[in-house]
Amino acid sequence: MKQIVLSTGVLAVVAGSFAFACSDTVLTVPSEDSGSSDASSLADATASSSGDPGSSSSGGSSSGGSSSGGSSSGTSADADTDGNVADPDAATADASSPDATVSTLYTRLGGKPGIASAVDAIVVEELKEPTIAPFFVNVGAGTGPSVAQLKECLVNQLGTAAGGPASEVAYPTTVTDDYVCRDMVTAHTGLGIPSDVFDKFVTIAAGVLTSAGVATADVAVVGDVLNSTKLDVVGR
Amino acid sequence: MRAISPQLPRALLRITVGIAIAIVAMHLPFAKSWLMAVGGCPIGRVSTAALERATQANLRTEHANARATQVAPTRTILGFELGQTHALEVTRWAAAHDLTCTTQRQGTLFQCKGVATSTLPMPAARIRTLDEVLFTFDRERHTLVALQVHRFRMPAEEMRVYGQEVRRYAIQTLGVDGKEAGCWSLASAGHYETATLRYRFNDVTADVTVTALPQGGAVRETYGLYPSASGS
Repeated sequence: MKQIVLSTGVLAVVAGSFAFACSDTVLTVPSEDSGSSDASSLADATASSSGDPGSSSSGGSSSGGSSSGGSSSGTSADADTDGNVADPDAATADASSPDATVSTLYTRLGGKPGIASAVDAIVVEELKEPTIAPFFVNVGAGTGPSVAQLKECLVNQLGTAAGGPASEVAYPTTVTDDYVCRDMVTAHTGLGIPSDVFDKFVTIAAGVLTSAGVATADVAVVGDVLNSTKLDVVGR
Repeated sequence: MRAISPQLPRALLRITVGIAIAIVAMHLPFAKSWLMAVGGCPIGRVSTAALERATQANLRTEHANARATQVAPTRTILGFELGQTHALEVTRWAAAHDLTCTTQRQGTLFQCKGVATSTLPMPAARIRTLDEVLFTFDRERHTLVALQVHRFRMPAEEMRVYGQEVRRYAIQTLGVDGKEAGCWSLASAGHYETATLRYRFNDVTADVTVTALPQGGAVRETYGLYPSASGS
């Protein structure tokens, strides 16, 4: 497991008439939802998910002409009626006061609940991409996993890759209703996913994590995990 | 009444068996590329209506969570107006510029590849060709509800320059109330270094994402109209 040194900071680089706000913050506060939605379709699942990672009233912090830099960094989680964190931005730690005890990617991502929240947020954004959405909408419609089972598998896969303890995450593994998470080749055979669509998937995931305040180095680890599956996913 | 030829049932059987063999053969590993070339296997494919329902449900959830009250300063993106531009106008634009485009999903998705930037009202310094432009239309009204622009496999410097131009365009178009994350200078150019700019208005959602993928820089722009704003 790659250990990432916690780095935070704010850098403003002025170029032309615009200031480029740079920030590395760390997601430390997990949501209360484990992502184990029992929704029977993706529409249900997304309707019950914790929603957008970067949303905030009227677009959040203004930064177009600012040099004060970076993403907003609220410190209190705002739970909705389901107990989900409605605004994962609110779970982003203050960049100026990182928790030095948070040292592994798994814990920095908020443990299993935090990773489940990230998976929810990524799925929400992937569904907005018209060339990716069909692959998700079909989930739960056939003999494959339900949306909840798919999310459990993804959380376990990502959690394991992030160095999560075996007592909390494992992959391969068996999830709800004894569903055995499939290997990547089996799960994607017959889908014919093109290379560009895969690249879009990774780009969107990296964007969601970055918007949620995950540090660049940590996004890179997750990106490597995703990209390492490309040969197993594309063109099958 | 004409008598049925005794040869007919046998001929039908042969045709049926032949079709069955062809279908099975198309699904064998060596023929996968042929199957994909003809649009993939139709079995298990999601319907356009189901896809639209799921997408709209997703957007409604995001819209509710965003709780935004501010309306976008404009719905006109790259010369196309969300909620107004008709599918026919887009196809006319594509034909006028001799673009390579395909219509999919009962006319709700129009995909153009290798689009010259000169065909769009874009900043002059931007690159010459866009890898892909996707137009999504409302299934009933046939008006534009989403627009995506993609560039892939860009050299690092080109990615930086283009990313900043796209960011500048978004700010000029949608204002300074977007939320940014990451570093737009992409100074380290390390793998997966990412910068984002996102807008969540009451009517419009927009994201610009630049990511340094190992296979080259990717720049993605996505603009969409929430269902409540499009009347869907």
